Amino acid sequence: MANRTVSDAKNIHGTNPQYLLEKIIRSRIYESLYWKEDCFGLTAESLIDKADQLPCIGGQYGNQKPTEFLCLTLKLLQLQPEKEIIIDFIRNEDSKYLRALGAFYFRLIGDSLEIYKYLEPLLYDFRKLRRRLPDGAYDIIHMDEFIDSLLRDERVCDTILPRILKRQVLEDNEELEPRVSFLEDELEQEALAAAKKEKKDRSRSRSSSRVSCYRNIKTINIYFYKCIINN
Amino acid sequence: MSTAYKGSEVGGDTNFRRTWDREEYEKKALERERESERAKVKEKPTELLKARKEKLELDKYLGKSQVVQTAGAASKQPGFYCKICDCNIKDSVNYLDHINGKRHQSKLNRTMKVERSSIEDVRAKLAKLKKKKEEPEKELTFDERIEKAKKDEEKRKESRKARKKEKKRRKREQEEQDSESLDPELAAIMGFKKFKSSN
Ligand SMILES: [Zn+2]
Repeated sequence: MANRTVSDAKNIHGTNPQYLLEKIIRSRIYESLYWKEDCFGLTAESLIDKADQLPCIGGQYGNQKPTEFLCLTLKLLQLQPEKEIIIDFIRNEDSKYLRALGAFYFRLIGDSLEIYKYLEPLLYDFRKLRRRLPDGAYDIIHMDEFIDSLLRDERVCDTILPRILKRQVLEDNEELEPRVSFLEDELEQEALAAAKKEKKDRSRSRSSSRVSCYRNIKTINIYFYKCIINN
Repeated sequence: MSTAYKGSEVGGDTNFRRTWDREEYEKKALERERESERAKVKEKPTELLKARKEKLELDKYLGKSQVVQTAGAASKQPGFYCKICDCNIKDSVNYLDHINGKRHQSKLNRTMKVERSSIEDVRAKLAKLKKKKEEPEKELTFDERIEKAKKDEEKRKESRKARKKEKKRRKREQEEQDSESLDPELAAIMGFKKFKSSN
């Protein structure tokens, strides 16, 4: 089982789970030293330490080298641990890189409803993550930004994310509760106070407040502090 | 009568030829067959694949030579030597491929299947991780501090050596370049002669 998927793996989105990473990236991972030396023989359990020690998240860098983050993602695709295990990765508070890895993997294999259910709570995690950029340099991204891009973007860490339903669709089908959070409550109440009588198009104001909310980390952090102080 | 006279009894004047001891060879052939059969039914590996616990430190001996004293031709060649398979591998990547390979693993009585972690395994591990994060960086004992200082010193020396080597190499290159770019006329005036290579 150096490079093979476990024999009892189920197809994900109609294909071998490993194929969720592009072929060319997969073969670069198989060739990488980190894969050969550190990922060999890993289990879902022993992978935890490796994930905790990740230096950064990211896709490919430099001479199209895959990050260790991608290598471990492929390892998970190969092992296909029970969803319960991944949810524990996501819920863990102690290792932010394990959480980021769990979330990224879950975004690849989960269905729309579960993805919203388990990833949205991480939008309140403002911890910093190091990210490797294609040119090999690093920058800082916050967990909530990363999660937000997993929920909105088509491509993250050089990986095409499987399509998921828009949140609105799930809300309309009453499969998902409209997102109300204490942060949004505050923002919304302010907005409502400002334009109390104009009650038209509530949903749009909500979604736009969400955008501004996650896109502007500084404000949200200030809000966060304010909330803590107020409580 | 000894066997030496056997030939002359049957073969007349061809008694100088070697006579084949059929019995002996039959016995050998039979043994060989049994051996290969035994190899065929050799039990399949019973243990699951295991991850390596320790770092391989493939660069540990980088730039150093080591005297190896073991029997067998394979272990005397340069490169990585696998004790388990008694074979020599020329570089680190091939060595990794080898020790990750099926042949090597089955010599360790391991299949290529990996253990499936249960949710309990994972939870126990996560609890351990939590504990590790909560407990403050443990203070080193005196001996450990000494050990660490030694290692640091070694590393410093190592990198100093590498730097020096690199500097020397660059200097040499520079010199070579300089001598090549020397104007031949000027060289002639100064009394140097360019040596023609003798072939
Ligand atoms: Zn071997």
